[in-house]
Amino acid sequence: MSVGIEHYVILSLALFCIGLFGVLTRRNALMFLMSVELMLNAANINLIAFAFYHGNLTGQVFALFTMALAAAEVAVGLGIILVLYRNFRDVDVTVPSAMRW
Amino acid sequence: MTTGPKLRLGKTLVPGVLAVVLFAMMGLITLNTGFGAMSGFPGDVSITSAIGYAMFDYTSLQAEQGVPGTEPFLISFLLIAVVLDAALDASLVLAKREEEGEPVTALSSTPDSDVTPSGTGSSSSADDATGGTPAATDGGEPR
Repeated sequence: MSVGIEHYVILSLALFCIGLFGVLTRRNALMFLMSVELMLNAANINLIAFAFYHGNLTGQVFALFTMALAAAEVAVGLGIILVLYRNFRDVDVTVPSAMRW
Repeated sequence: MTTGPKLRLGKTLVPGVLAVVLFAMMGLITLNTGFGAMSGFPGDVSITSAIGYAMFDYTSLQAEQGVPGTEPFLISFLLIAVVLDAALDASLVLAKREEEGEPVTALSSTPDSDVTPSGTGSSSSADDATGGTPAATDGGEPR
């Protein structure tokens, strides 16, 4: 039995939903960052699986760029969490309320 | 204060039902979609080399030994490089802190900056600004 494209889609969907679950239920900013990374990696699985499905390498090259963007996002996100901890002595995302809306 | 990851059960998990519902719905849609068979890559090309040809616009090499149908990506590569550079700068700006009105950058290390950050007087801070004192390499301990 060969592995079809729908198995990859289900895997990436599961990963995305685990990330979404984390974003919706966690309050720790570091957990938020990890959950967003899970969602980005779900997109990567889809890109690579559909690159194989269509028979060209565009999706694989684009997945490399997505990883670089994820690294940039983590750099800025960790900086923001650092400032959050310095100002509030906490990394709970519900504590700062000034720029929420 | 959140000091560590611990499993909280109860009312905080209620919004997470949304994610479970989304998984069930999208999973049903995926299983009911007829995708067809995978095309796959041609067997006689190196995938890693072909990724390199596509990323750096080696069009002649890509036509000979690449995977057909792959787009060139050199502009995207340069854009991502600029974005990574901007992210590095942004993280340095965010890591900067102020102590009594004076900005302290994350990469500066002076011998007495972490021992007595504000009690050194104006002459010592002028020395720091002009680089008169050598940068400490031993964790800031005075020799």
